[in-house]
Parts: sequence; structure tokens; C-alpha cells
Amino acid sequence: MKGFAIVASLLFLLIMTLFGFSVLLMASGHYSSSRGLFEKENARIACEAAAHWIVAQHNAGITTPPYLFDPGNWNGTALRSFQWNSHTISATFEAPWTSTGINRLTLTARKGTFLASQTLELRQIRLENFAFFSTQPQVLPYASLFDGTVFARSTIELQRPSVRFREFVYAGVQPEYYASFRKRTLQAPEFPNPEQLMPPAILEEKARETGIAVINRDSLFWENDHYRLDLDQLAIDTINGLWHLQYKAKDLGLHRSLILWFDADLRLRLTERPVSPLPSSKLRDPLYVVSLGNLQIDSNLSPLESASRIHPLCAIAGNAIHLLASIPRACHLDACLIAFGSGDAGGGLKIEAGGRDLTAPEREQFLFAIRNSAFLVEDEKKQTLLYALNAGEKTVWFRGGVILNASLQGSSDLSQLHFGSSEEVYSLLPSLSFVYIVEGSRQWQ
Amino acid sequence: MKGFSLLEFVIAAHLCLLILIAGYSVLDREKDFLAKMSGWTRPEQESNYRLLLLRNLLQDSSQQLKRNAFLQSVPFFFNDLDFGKEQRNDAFSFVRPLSSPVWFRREGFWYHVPKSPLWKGGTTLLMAGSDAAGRFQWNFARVLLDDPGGSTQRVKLKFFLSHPELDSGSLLQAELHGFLWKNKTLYWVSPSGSLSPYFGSLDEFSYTFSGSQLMISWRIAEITAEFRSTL
Repeated sequence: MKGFAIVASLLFLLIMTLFGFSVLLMASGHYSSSRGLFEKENARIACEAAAHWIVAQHNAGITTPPYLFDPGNWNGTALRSFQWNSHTISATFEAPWTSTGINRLTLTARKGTFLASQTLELRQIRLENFAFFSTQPQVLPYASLFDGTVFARSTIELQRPSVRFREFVYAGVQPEYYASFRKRTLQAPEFPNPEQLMPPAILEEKARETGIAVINRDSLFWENDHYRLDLDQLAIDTINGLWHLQYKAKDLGLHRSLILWFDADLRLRLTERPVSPLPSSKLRDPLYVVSLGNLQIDSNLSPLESASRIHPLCAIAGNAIHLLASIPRACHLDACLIAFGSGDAGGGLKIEAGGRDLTAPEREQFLFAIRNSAFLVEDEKKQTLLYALNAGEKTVWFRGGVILNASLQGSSDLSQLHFGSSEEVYSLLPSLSFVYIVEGSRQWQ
Repeated sequence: MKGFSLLEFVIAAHLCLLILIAGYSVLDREKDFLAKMSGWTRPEQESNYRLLLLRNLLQDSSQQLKRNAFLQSVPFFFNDLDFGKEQRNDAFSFVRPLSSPVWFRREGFWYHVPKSPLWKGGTTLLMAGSDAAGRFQWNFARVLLDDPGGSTQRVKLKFFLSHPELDSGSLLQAELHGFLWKNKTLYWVSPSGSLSPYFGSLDEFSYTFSGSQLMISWRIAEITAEFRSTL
């Protein structure tokens, strides 16, 4: 009988073991399915948080050099991996870092067999990214549209409601209920003054060595008490990789850089051209026009076009920029404007009262610019701008950014003032050390 | 006493047979029971797996649109399979951009776009920009003809919606995906418009969309799954 008891016990044990084992397998399969869901999500969150942490760590400036520029953090184009919430974070750039272009980064968060990977684009903040940059507080008595990053040291005081910001605002905006924001930022990097980034003496040196320095009241440009540069009279060509410039049919020689530097006040003028139906596919090389004193603008500004290139304009004043009374009543300036003069020296940007009627090409160009800008999707702003245009009210639209060391002063008759950032890359202007993630560039792998 | 009697042998043989039959029967019942248990847990595993796949497809799918001021103003989620013309609780569709934005300009029947990338016939494009009156418009279109000659690439388009004709703006390659719950089955509507069963035997299905957040929930017997994706 003992034999039967043993066989029966063993059979019972076998059945129970098989049952237990099967239940265990089933439970582990079920658990791993649920766990997979949570861990995958955790990996995604870790990946996304790590990307923001890298940018925040870099921009916080805790370390010198900043995080992304520290060779100690890198092994070639790969970031040294680090731990983030139990995940191992590794990152690799597609190519060595460039300060003027896009840096594509692949970021991976891994925990055991669970991983999440995304690509994103990082760019260094550049002066031309700003629609408005001022190292002084700014008072704004207009219902403006800002289509680009905004920076003002301390505050921007709004005196009218309906001010619209489409990009990040690095400034205290008061009162906030007068503003509407498409994007908010909690982090405000301490941006340096423009002259710290790009000392004016360097521009002079650059012009003397590789561009054109106009000095001692050169009769070709001098007029009464200032220089005058009629951009319609400037012809640009390339010969053997050098820039060949002519002004009023007079040969200005061959130069390595497209920079014209003037040692006194300069008046700038350009005649509006008919709207080109198609965007040009020509290469783009910016033209830098620098005045040691004040820069006076008495027309609309837009990129120049030569036989093989488009030349976006960057106009730089050692002191202040003046928009003269002779500008069109609805004026748009598709150029990057920089004024180094500080408040004490009377710098900044001043808009004079008055203005002339628009010519037909100017009106057509203005309407074309509205249709191909952010105004198209900001209907309220578009309607008020069109009303001002039709009513002949004074309107100024900066389309390439305004960088100031002092404040902007509008005229008493100014009805509309709008700002946009440049889409060009002015390679002569230095990049700021801060970086940002390009909006819409994140893609999961 | 040595050996055993016939009676003892018969009893022992019966006992042995009984143990074997009982053992087999218990194993069989155990198999049925485990199969039943597995049947209870498998839908949840399947639900989790489908949920992961769907989330991969949906999460951040509209990101590329944010690269452009015009395209970011285009609706990228529709409460039906026909660009939002009728509200449905059992179907939705969404846009998945596949390229970076480029400019376009209209000239008669032709649309000028940059030389690169090359748009082949049959490609679906999402376009946004200004109409002749200067108003914001958007539309989807299929490339009918392409003419890569000249300084730009010219394409002829067939528009999906009868919106006013676009004059200038930005476009990108995109595809439209959709999901439809019908006869207890969730179907995936592919960019070509064909239906494929995606997840079967769903007793309930619902979704809500707000801002760029899509919340989907479904129920299979006692198992309810609910998840959120940012498009």
C-alpha cells in the first residue's frame, strides 16, 4: 500500500507543480505586458525630460564652458551617457556642432530592455532670431505684433491692450493682461549687450581688412554733413570668389567681405522694386552697412539682388538709427537693424513724425508682405494693419529684427508698430552661447 | 506469506488504473482551467499591445506642422473620416506630416514649388497660405502632374476640399490616417482609404479631443483601457 501512497502523492505533486508553473508563466506574461506599457512610457518621459534638462543645464551657465560646449562632456559627437530617473541617457549629434545652423541630436533613454529614442534639432540663439532686443526697459504705446523672440532688460511696459507675442518673451511684460502669448518661457537667460558680443572696433577692422572702409568724407558718398548710400546705385558681382563692387558706375575694387563701413553719419536709401512672383533660389550672402555715427533711413529696405546672389541687409549704427520723415507712411524694413549707442549717448531708434504717400509698387509690396507673413494667421492684427494702410495712417513694420542698446521712440503720429525676426543668417554677427530646441523638430524613432 | 493472491493483484491493478484515470482527468481539467485563465488575461495583453502601437502612431504626430506659421494654424485632427464635416463618436482621422515645409506660389493652373524635394504624382500635400483675397486658407491636394524642368518644380494639383484656391504659402507632404469602430471591431483607415481590422471584439469605444490632447478608451468584457496622447 505504501507504493500506491507514494505514486498518488507524486502525481498530486506533479499536478500541483504543473498548475503552479503555468499560473506563474501566465502571471509573468500578464505582468510584463502591463509593465512594458508603463516602462515604455517612463522611457519616453525620461527621454523628453533629459532633452529639456540638457538645454536648461547649458543655458543656466552653471559651468564654464557651458554644458554642451564642454569637451569633457563629449566623446567625438557623442555625449557621455548619464543617469536620469534610473534611465541611462545617451545622445549623439549627426555632425560636429555648428553655431549658425541646425544641430540634429538623437537622444536615447534606456532602462534594461526598455528604450525610447527621439531626434530633435538644437540651434544656438542668434541676434537675428530676435524681433526686438533692447538692453533698456521699453515703453510700448502700440498694439504691436511681435513675430520673433523678444528681449528687454527688466520690463516692457504696455500702454495699449492686444499686444501679441508669437515667440518667447525674455522680459517682464506689464500689465500682462494687455498681452497675449503663443509661447511662454519661465527661464530668462542673462543676454549680454550687443557691443559685448560684437565690439564696433571689430567691424571697422573687418571693413578695413576685407571690405570697404569709407573715410575722410569720400566725395563719392559725402553729401553736406553726412554720407549717403543709394543702394540702387550699388552693383555687386563675384569674380574668382571675391566680391566686385561698383557704386554709381565707379569701381570699388575686389573684396573678401561684403561690408561697407562709414566713419560718420550715413543716410540709406533704396527704391522699392516690383514684387517678384517667385522666391529666388539664388544663394544668399548678406551685405553689412555700418555707420560709425547715426544711421538715417529714408525708404523701405529689402534684400538686394545681384546676378548670382540675394543680399539681405544688415544695417548697423555706432550710435542711433533714425527713420526720417521722408519714409513711406506705411513703411516696412526687411533688414536687421542694430544700434550700439546707449541711452546716455542718445542711441536707440527714433521714428520721426510725417511720411509720404506710397507709390503703387510700395503698396503692392506691402500687401504681398502681409499675405506672406504671420499677419495672415493673426486676423485681428491683419485687419487693423490693412485699415491703417487704407486710411494712410503712419505704420512701421520691422521685418528683420531690431537690436538696441537703448529704447525705441515712436513719433506722435505713429499708429502701428510691428516687429518680426529675420529668417536670414548674418554670419558676421556672433551667436549667443544659449541654445534652444527648434519648434516642431522632435520626432520619435 | 510470500507473493500475493489474485484478489490482491486485481485490487492493486484497479487502484493503479484509478490513479491514472484520476490523474489524467485532473490534468485535463487543469488544462481547461488554465486555458480559461489565459482567455481572461490575453485580451488585456492584446489591449496593452494595441495601445502601445496606437500611441506610437499618435504621439507628437503633428509636430512638423509647428515649424511653419501657416501650417501650425491648420486643423490636424478631425472628428470623422471626412475632414470634420460630420461629428462622429465612432471615427476620427488625423494628419501625419512626412516632410519639412516648403513654399509654393500659384501661376494659372500650375503651382511652383522648390526644385527639391521632388513631388511625384499621387503624393498627398497639405497646403496653407493666402487666397487671392488675402485670406488664410488650407487644403489637402494630390499631385496629378509634375514638371521638374525650369528654375522651379511645377505641379498640377487636385484639391480634396472645395476651399477658395490658394495663391501662395507653405506646403508639406502629409498622410491622413483614420480609425473607425464598426461591428465591435476597430478598423484602421489607411492613407489610401482602405479599411483593415486593427483590434477586434471591442465592446465599447470612445474618444475625446481637446487642444492637442486625444483621449481614447475602449472596453473588452471587463477590461477597460484609457490612454491619452498629445498629437
